[in-house]
Amino acid sequence: MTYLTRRSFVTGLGGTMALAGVPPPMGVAASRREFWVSAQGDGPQRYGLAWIDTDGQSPRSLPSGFRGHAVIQHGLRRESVVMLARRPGTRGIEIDLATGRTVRDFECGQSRHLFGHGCFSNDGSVLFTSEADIKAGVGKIVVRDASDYRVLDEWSSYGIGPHELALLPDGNTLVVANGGILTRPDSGRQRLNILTMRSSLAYLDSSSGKRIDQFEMAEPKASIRHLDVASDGSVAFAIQLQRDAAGHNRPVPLAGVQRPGEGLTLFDAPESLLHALRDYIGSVAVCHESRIAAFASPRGSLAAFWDLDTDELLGYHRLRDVCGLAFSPQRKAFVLSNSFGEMRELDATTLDERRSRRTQHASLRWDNHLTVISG
Amino acid sequence: MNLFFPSALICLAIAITGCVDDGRGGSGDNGGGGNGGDAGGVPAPAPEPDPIATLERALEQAIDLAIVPAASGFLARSESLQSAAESFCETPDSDALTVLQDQWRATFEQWYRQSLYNFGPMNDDIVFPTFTFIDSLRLRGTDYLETVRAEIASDINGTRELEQSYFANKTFQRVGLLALESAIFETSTADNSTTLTEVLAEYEFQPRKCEVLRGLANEIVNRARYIEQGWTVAFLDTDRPFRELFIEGELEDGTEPISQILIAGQEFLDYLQARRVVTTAAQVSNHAWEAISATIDEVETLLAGGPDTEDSIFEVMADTGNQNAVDAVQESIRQVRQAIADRDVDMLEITLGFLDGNFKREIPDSLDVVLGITFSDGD
Repeated sequence: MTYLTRRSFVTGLGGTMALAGVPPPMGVAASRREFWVSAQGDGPQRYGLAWIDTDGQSPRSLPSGFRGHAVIQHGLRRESVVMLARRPGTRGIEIDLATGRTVRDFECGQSRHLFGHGCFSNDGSVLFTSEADIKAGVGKIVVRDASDYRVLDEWSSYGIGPHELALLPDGNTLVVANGGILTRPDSGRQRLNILTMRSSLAYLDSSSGKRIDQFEMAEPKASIRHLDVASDGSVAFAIQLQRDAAGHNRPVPLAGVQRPGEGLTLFDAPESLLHALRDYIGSVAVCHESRIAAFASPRGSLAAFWDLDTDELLGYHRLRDVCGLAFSPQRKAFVLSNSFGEMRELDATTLDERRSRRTQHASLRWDNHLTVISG
Repeated sequence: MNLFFPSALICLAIAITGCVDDGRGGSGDNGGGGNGGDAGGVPAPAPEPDPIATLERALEQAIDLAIVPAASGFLARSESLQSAAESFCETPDSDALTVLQDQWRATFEQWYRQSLYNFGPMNDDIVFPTFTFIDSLRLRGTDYLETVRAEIASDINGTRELEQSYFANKTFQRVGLLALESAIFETSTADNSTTLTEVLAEYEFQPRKCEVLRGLANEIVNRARYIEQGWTVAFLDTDRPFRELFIEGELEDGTEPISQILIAGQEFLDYLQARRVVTTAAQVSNHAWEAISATIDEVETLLAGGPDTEDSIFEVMADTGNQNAVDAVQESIRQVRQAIADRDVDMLEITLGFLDGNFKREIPDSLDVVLGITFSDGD
């Protein structure tokens, strides 16, 4: 990576912000080129999408007018990404990274809002988004045509507050993290069912929406929000504990795995480390080769790593306000980002940090999720 | 792949200035111009005070006149406590016990000053953080009083040799200021009497209790020295004092020093209210209110400075047009003090919340410090 001088950074970002950016076409680069993409910004006037080209060019940014959450690579137009609004937002936008322009957008249907996550079908023709049926107070998986975002269908998520979802390696099964907590836009982020909440991992047939399987958390106030899928179909998941409603002060594991054919396994850790995670993990990423699952806790300013097969805690890394987390195939590294515009790389096998690759773009505020897009 | 290697992962952040955009712009020239030179002309405006530099000075003074002295003070108090324990064990009488109890109170109060700064040497190991070996309540509000009582009784009535390594290897739930409080202020009998004569009598009839007292007091000194040496001599394996690393912004997790101070402050204030510490800490010695009062004293020292302070954080806030914010913080401090004076638990919780809020909003906003995005529940 080429480090950016302040001048090149300011020039690059300023130009992009003003002109929507005209970075070189993606196809020019070698196939291993990656874009590290994230929602960013810390205020309504500054919300947008930003991305870094691992070829070492200046970061690019595009205002969005709303706070995004997750960013996913488009299933058909591989040079595009879709950024979905953070709960309870209703907008999704498609950005062509080659031109730096918004090419399409969509709004949720009436009485629906997004939870900030989605995924494409195996053939790329369909986008699945996790949404809320505001009136009924239940979770939905909305099926959209990937070409124009028309709603094609709508299924139950088999829970309340569906959040991150992903397609399993079989190309057909969807796994959905139902957080279990009911909120409504008119009452902000107030939890309306805290006494009765139930969180689960639900598995759906992505062609019909039928439930295949479902696993509930034993700890009733543990809310599964985020997940990533390993190549064997194991699902690493991350939890946010509603401590104020838990009725106890015991440490609760916040990370786990659901392996094919098994139930939920929670990853243990020393009490002091569990405490340091502050009952909150905001993102998870899996390295398929090393079979290490990485979890980031922005409240704890800490990323922690477990072995997917042995359940063993492998280590941790301190980075203030870290939440963005992704695996980079090109670098064979976990990439961490934070709200101070910092990025760090950790070798995905040894977990050693590559200090020389540290970067900081102080004008950027990397938000919840970081996504690696292969060129 | 079966290695747990925190030391390999926890490394100090080395600022790589070449890749950092500080977002400030400018060349460093204050643009104040010359002295005017041309008699009769309009005097050149005085150079604008550089708020960044002023904050840097205030920060350095806060470190040298508040934070490091808090660590040094805790070491000194711990050593006095250790010395009082030795004196008491050599001549166990009521006067010596009273001195010992007073020393514990003073050490506890100093701990509640230092607890405002739970970073660096106090908290340099996520799995075995030093602070938990001094104050087990701080980890997650669990009261281990019954655990330490049982442990002390077991040690007194047991037969194993009570060498120092035995105490050094105890888990955090069994040592620290809580264990010392139990050893110094109450008997280990079933009724846990706090009557001075009965506490004294137990020491006279159970010589092993003095071995317990010495072992626990020595461990507090060891931990206090580790913290103080970490600040002033060498931090972890760096051969550099944490003070230096901190001032130069080389924290392992990349946090800026002023941000770290404010985050640590709000975390402690949040802990005091969320765990209702005044009703859970120092209950045997009945010294919680005084400890929290010491914390508020430390908050003032940190923000307003002391007699030797030339640039305080409050002054920086005021100089940058934020006197209202200073007033708001001072009002919160006044209200906390009033709640302490009234021994009003509910009002203490409320007013600590105000002060906690000041650390989250008024102070960082006034200093133009970004503490990060708030990742709300459900994100």
